[in-house]
Amino acid sequence: MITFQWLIVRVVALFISLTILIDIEMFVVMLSFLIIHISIGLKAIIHDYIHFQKIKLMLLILLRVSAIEISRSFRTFYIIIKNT
Amino acid sequence: MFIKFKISNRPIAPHLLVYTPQLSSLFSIWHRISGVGLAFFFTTFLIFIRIILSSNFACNLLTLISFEISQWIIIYFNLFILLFLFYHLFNGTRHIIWDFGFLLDIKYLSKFSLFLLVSLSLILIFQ
Repeated sequence: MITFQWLIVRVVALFISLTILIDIEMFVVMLSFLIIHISIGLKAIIHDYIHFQKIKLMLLILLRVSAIEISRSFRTFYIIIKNT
Repeated sequence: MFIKFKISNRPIAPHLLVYTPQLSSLFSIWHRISGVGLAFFFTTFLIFIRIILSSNFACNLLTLISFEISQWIIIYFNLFILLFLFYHLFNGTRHIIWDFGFLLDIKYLSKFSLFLLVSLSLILIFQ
């Protein structure tokens, strides 16, 4: 039984690990894949260990907001790469 | 083929306090702990870069000075990030190998985990 997110986590992790082995500048290209990996993993942890429905819902909303905020601060990486 | 995330019948998560510690459950729970730790390190790294690159850096320098970063703290954090990253990477490749169906027998488990720990310690020594 394969869910979509189960497949996405594995494929994205393979991409990220391969790009780390090739070059660190390729890793910057894969940062959007990294945020998908982090958000799906933390969502799975919240689904597994928290059994109160209201707290789970609030944490999932906060997780999504923080994922958007982290992806907003990725542009600092592009500034660093551009200036070096 | 694809089923929604909530509805699907997910396997039981490795709880720390319920079961007696086994080799497979310990490696699984440390995979999760290292993942959360890596996410924590990554976000703090992003926040520090945003502080350094901000326009009113002279005001924010006061907050950075109060941390009093000395040499051993940097080495300590480097070693921890390296440990977490390579543990997560090796155990993730092991999970992907298991998902394809290879080496699933219980007799390979101790040898495989011993190989993982030895390669991890070799990387930490000869970094």
